[in-house]
Amino acid sequence: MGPMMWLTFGIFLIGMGYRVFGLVKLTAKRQRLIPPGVYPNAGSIPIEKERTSLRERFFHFRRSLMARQPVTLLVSIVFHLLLISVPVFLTAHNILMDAAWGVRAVSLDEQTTDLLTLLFLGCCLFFLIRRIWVGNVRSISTFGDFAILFFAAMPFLTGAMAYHQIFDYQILIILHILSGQFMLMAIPFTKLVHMAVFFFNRWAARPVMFKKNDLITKEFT
Amino acid sequence: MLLVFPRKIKEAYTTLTPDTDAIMKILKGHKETIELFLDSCVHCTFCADSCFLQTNHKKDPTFMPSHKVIHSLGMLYRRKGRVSWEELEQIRDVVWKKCVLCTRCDCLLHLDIPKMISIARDVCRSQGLVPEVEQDLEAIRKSVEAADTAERAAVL
Repeated sequence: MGPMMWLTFGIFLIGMGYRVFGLVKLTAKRQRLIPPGVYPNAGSIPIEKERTSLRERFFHFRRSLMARQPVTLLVSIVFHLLLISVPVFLTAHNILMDAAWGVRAVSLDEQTTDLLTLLFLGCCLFFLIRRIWVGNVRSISTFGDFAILFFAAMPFLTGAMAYHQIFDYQILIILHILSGQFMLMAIPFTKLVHMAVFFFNRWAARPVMFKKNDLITKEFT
Repeated sequence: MLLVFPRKIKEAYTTLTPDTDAIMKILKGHKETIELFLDSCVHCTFCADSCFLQTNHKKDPTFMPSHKVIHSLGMLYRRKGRVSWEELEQIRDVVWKKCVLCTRCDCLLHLDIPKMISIARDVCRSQGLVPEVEQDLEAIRKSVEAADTAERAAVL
């Protein structure tokens, strides 16, 4: 591993550590939404009612994202799964990792990864078209949104082109490495930080937004 | 001078300027949560359908929860509170006329959209910008007080 790769990993890990530290610091303010003593058993009030009957489950489903925007949601899930899994299970990456550290993950065969890469690029194209075409998305799209899509797509595009030897292989493979490193370095400092925020905010830090000793009624005025 | 720059002088006397320091004091009090929101909102627009106001306004993008936050609190934070009075009035309209704080907006990252709107409302209130309803209430309160004092004076 060359110095650039170490630098990339260093910036990525330190940056992510800093962001995660910030998120953990926010959770320190975690308080019960309803202060003790106001209602008996206040701490044990469930956030959502249990949905047991089929009818209730159906109504819940109808409100969910899966029912409202199923295509976008499915494309989004596939996109994120491929973004993480394709580089990890790629044969060439595993060979390089084995040479550098002596560790390797399970490798998928090259044809499968090639197909998955094309599928990933298709997902990117879907997001790009959605960002330009759909009114809701266009209304809040900024240059940064297109930029992070570009950062995410570039390593895959250059990798696929290098594999198929479409353009000059040497230039493409260097571009592939540089764009991958750039994407990793950009994660903590751009909107790509949602990689960490997604897990922290969804499962670890639900009521962090409420400051110490603040009632819910006091907050929402 | 009055003849040369009448418009400028008129503007200087009539336009109000928001108190940037007071706005920044409120924004700094919620710095981490605002930054968390603005840094990690990926503009996915999945929150759109959860807003009943948007669905009832023919899917007008300006009623989308993330759009409301970006064009109210987001603008205030990006510009470090340096906004004109007209812009602050626009923000007032966004946070009161386009949002009722029903807290049903659903973010995929569980970012707290209602909290952001409530901070923007705090900022507007700190500058004396309140919605029409509250202005009416204030007028009613004053008229009742005036009637009360008149009645008392008549009795005495």
